[in-house]
Amino acid sequence: MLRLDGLSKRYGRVVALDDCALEVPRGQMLGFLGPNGAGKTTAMRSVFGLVTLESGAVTWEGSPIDREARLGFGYMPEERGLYPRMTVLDQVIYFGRLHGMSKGAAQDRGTELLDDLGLSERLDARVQSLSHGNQQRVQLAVALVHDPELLVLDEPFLGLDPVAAETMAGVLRKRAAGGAAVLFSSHQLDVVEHLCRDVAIIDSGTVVLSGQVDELRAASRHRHVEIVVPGAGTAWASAIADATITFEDGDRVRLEVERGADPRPFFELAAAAGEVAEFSFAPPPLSQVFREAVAR
Amino acid sequence: MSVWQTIRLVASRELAARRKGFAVVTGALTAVGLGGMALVAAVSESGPSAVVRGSEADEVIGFFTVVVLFVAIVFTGQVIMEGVAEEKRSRVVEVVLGTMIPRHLLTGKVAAIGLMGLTEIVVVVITVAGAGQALEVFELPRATTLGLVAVIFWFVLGFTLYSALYAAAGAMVSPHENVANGAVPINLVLAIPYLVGVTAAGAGDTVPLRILSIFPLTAPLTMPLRAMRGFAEPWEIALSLALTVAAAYLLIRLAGSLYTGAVMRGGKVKWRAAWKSRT
Repeated sequence: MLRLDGLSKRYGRVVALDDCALEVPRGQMLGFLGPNGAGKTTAMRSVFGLVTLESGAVTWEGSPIDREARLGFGYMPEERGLYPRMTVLDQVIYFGRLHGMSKGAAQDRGTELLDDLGLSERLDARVQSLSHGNQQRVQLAVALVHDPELLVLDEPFLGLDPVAAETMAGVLRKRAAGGAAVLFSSHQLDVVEHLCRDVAIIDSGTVVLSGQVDELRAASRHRHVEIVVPGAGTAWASAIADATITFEDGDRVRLEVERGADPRPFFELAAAAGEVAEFSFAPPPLSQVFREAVAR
Repeated sequence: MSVWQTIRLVASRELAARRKGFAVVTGALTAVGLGGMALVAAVSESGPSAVVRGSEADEVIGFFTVVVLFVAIVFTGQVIMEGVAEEKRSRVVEVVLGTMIPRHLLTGKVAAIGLMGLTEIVVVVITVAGAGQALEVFELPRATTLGLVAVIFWFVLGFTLYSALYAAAGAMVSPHENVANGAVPINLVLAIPYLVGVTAAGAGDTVPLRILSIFPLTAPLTMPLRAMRGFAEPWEIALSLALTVAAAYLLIRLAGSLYTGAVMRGGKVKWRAAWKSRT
């Protein structure tokens, strides 16, 4: 298990981490979410000893992290970085060997991995000649080649289209299912809530919410109702009691109600206005849960 | 995995990445040297007076010793500096430092590039000296073999002394800055013994030359000259060596810390900031 305990760090007057605490057990894929500048990158870099902490401790399996332990970790930093003039396969082999693999093992595993990522045609291409998306895949291969027990990825979904993001999430889920602990960050809360089950949300250097996405959403005091009645407009919706209309456009209306509300009368009102084309009753998205938690 | 394995991996990556450029530079320098020798030989057909020998040869060889040492240290230092700056610019250094501490990365890099610089010197000097001898351009004095050993030895020492400084300077430049700018202060320090050395090569032993040959930062360029010309007393050589080795040790520690403090920070890093954030 990776454990971040009471981490604090300031850069001048800017607070990067303030008593930040987090746990990632093996087998879990944890989304580390929060707005830009919340402290995600600083927390992740602390796992690799790249940050001098003012207080707190980072441990893996109960022990402070030393060089030996770190060789079993995989890391994708926020600022992607590869040797631009090295070829794709050589690059992956090099990082595999830096993590203690033999040359042969690194070559075999690297070739296999690059093949899985769809780069088998580009093994001998220089990294600088690849597209941004392909460089991102090489970066992932570099982080994965030594089959790490702990994977730390800073914004792995940034710049990926939804299909590529789902592929990336699939790769990470597979690693977690294989017993690795996976920690990844994102500032796009709504993108990630569909890709992973467990999240920790950080704000101003402190983890303000953590748990399963469904539970966090369900714990919200509000529910969202979204209804489309073609040709009926939205005026009929003002008859719904104890609801706030948060969005109206054409025939689509979105309302916010209290958690315990019974959705059936809403449907009946909608059905009275016309034929119901869409009707949903659900907890708010993660981004709103977050805003409620930090009272913004 | 042991620290040495890590350093060896870093060094062999550096060697592999720079193999081609290194071969080109060595080839070009050798060609220029050989061409010069052939030219002098062709001109000297007209009479034996063009051939240098005796004390004149000592002076010429002394002069070229200073030039070669200066060029070798500055060139090799700049290669290190550019290598460090490139790792910082491409951000790959953060991935690498997830597996090792900065000192190990620096050691592997400096060892590999230093080895290439050394090979370059040995190849060029031996080829050119051999060709000069064969074409009867100059007569090598008897002390030459010892002189060559001295050049190589002082290159290793001088390079060691300055390499970490170049690396620290490379770690401090911002991604968009011209890397060479950062080398200017270091090159200026090296220019002092260079200028004094080349001007003194034709003259005798002077007081400034004596002082510079003892002072550690300038000794690697000036002491081999004095030693080859037979100006230096044994105790002076011993003192100069001891001071230079001690200074190299201290500078590597100091510059290693500066490198560590600077390489992970984005953008331009001032010397003071690098010193403060060293670990």
